Amino acid sequence: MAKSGGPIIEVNGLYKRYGKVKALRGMDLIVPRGTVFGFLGPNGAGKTTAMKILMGLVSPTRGEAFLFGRDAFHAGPAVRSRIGYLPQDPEFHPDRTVREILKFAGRLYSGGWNPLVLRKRVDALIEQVGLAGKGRRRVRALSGGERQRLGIAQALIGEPELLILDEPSAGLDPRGRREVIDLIDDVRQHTTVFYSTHILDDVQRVSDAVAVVGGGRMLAQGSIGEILGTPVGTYTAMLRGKPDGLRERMVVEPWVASIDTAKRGELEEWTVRLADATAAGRLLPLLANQKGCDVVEFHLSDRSLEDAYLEIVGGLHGE
Amino acid sequence: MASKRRYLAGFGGYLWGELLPWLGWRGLLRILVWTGLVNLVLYLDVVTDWDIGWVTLESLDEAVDLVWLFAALGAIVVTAGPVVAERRRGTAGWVVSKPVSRGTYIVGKVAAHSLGVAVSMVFIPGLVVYQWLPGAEHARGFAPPTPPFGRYLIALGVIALLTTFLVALVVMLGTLLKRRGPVTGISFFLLIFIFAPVVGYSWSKYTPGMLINWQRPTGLTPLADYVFGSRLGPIEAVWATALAIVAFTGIAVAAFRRAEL
Repeated sequence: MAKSGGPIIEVNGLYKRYGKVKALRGMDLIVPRGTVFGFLGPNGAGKTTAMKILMGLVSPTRGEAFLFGRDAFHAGPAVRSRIGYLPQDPEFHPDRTVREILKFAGRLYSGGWNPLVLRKRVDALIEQVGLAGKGRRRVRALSGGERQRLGIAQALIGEPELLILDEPSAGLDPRGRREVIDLIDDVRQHTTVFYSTHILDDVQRVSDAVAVVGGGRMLAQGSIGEILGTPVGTYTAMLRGKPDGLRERMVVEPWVASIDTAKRGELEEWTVRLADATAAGRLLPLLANQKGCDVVEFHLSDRSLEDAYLEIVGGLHGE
Repeated sequence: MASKRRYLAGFGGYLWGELLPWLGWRGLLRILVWTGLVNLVLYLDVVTDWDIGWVTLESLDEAVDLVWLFAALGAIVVTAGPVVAERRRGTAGWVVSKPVSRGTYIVGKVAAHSLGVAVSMVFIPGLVVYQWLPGAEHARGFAPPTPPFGRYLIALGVIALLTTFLVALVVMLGTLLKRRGPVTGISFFLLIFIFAPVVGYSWSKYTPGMLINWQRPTGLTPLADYVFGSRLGPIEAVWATALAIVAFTGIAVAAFRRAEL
């Protein structure tokens, strides 16, 4: 069954069971064309399994997965020629050199036989992923980070329309991570990138959209802004002085959900989460009119993707 | 770089990639070591054995046996490792994530290893033997006829067919069993069992052993006898061996298509 003009990846009610272990439990996912899409989730959330199903390496127990509108497991080489895939912990033939691996990968594509074109492409990729001067080095002599770079290079060899990267930053030092993110940024103009990671800073920097998975299910999906939510409900106030009794009076108010306090030198930082966002107008006057303390600073709390992520996956711990 | 969905999609590129380890310096080293080993053992065997009566014919019998034995052991060892290891470490999954069908992976593996074994372990060592063996006999004072080159080449071809049989068997076992120990162990066991001379049954003529181990009335193996003008062993054994290669490969493809990588 082929669907045209839809999302580049579509997953509906995907289940995967390994013996007694349920790796996926009804996962849904939609990756629009032209996006850099972060795939987030704790270890064992089902990210790698979902990616393997998309690549046709593992068959689903139940459900559907489509790539370019075609059934992922039965799509065959025609669809895979449009995809670059970086597996988690990529392992290549240890006795082959970087250049040999890339040439081998390039020749697997129908247009990869022209030696001049292939050589230029390999040279460019070696340069692009930061392996310049290491083309003749054998895989067994590469560091973990260099193997990861080789993995990214081989994923790019076929000039794919879709890149599926399973933990592309794993094993890389901060500079290497930055380079991977820059690389994703470079290819985004003509390539949809679907990648899994644990590094939330990177996701926030480069992604258009994210999906958070846990327990084999989709927990949240949307643009970064949608996932972060509008932070109207949480405020930070820096107070000088002694706001005696204020905290006790406020926490019993029905429109206050919680108050966290922390000493910051001579100041006290209050993080107030409102149960009713429309009550925000009452908060500042209440603080400002308190005798014995001054409001030095007052603003909406910044909410990081990490906060949102932890909030989303937090509910899984009891499962 | 688009390609159509084909049963053997990406075969040319994959076969070339699989042949690479048999080429270049490492391939040359393998050929030198293998050829040196086979020829050294044969030289020590022939030159020090003054009891040989039929001289070249018996020497050739020794040569055929040695080339076959070394190539058979080599075929099992060099095939079992990559098939099992590639699957375990994820290289197989990586290859089929490219525009390569699973059929290509198996057929390419069988083809590349068969070709590599045939060239490096059968034809080159065998042809080097052909170069010096008659000369060595002359040096010992015998003047036997030189074995006909065409028939000798066909005899090496039969050995290559038998090593291809082993390669396909090992690839099939590697696809089904996933662990190197059992794959190698069972292959060695089957090497002894399948190639044991089984004569006297109605199905004997279909066994690969009839092509190599069956003792003729002359006391020589069929291939050595064939080189000097006798008929090859039963032709049914050739067809049965070829059919078994196709069957082993087919089973391996079917199993690999269902495999989770």
